[in-house]
Amino acid sequence: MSRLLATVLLLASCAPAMQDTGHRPPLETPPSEEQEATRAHDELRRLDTELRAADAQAAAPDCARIGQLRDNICALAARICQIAERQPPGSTTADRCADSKTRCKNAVDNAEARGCPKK
Amino acid sequence: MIGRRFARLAATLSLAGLLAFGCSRAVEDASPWVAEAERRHALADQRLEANDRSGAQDALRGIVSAPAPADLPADARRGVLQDTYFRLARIELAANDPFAALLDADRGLALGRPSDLFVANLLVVRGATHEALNNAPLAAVDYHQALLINDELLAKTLRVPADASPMPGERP
Repeated sequence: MSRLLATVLLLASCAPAMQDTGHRPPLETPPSEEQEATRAHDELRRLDTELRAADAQAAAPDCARIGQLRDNICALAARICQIAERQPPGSTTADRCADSKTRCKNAVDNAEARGCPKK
Repeated sequence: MIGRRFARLAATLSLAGLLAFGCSRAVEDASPWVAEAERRHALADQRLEANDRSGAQDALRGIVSAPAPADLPADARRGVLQDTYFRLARIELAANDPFAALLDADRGLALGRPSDLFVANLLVVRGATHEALNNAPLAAVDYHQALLINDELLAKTLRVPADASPMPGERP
C-alpha cells in the first residue's frame, strides 16, 4: 500500500517537479502550485524513506523459523512418498505424495528466495 | 522386516522431535497451573534421561489430570494439554504401546485443531502410531495434514516481518 501511495505521489508530483528543473519558465508557475509541488515532493521523500525502511525490515527473514518449517514439510513429504511407494498405483496416498513433493519444492524455493541457508 | 519398520518409526519419531522443537515452553503465562506444568515437563525430561519412562509418564499425567484454572486463556490451556498429550503419546509409542499412544494422540486432538505446531505434532505422532499398527494409508493422511499445517505456517512466516510475535506452538 505504501509502495502504491508513493508511486501515485511520485506521478502526481512529477510535472511540478520538472518545473523546478527549468523546463518551463518559472514565471509561468503560480506560487501556490510551486508550494504544492514542494509539499508533495517532501511527502514523497518521507514515504520513500518509510518504504526503504519497510523493505529493509522485510529483507531480514526469520530463517530459523523458515528453515524449520521447510524441513518439516520436506521430511513429511519424504515419509508420505515412502508410504505411497508401497501402495497400489492410483491410491490416494500417491496423490498426497505428489502434492507433498510440490509443497516441499515450493518451500525450498521460497526459503532460498529469502536468502535462507539450505539444510 | 520388523527391523525396517522400527527404523522407519524411529525416523518418524525424530521428525516428531523436530516438530516439537520449542513447544514445551511456548506458552508463557504466570498461572501457577502453567508453572506446575512446566515443572512437570522438566521432571519428565529428567526421568527420561534416567530411562524411567514410567516416572516420566506419571509426571506428565499429573498435568492432564489437574483441572486448569477457569481464567486461563483457552489457547494457553489447549497448548499445554496438547503438548503434554503429544509427549505422552511419544513415550508410549517408544515403549511399544501404540494403542495407548493412539488414545493420547486422539485425546490431544479432541481439544481443538487450529493450524499450529501443537496440532501438527499430534498428527505426526498419531501417524507414527498408525504405522506401528500397520495402517500406513491412515498414517499418510495424518502426515499430510501435519504437512499442510506446516505449509500454512510457512506461508504466514514469509508474509510477516522477522520481528513479529511467534506463532502458537513455536518458541517465542
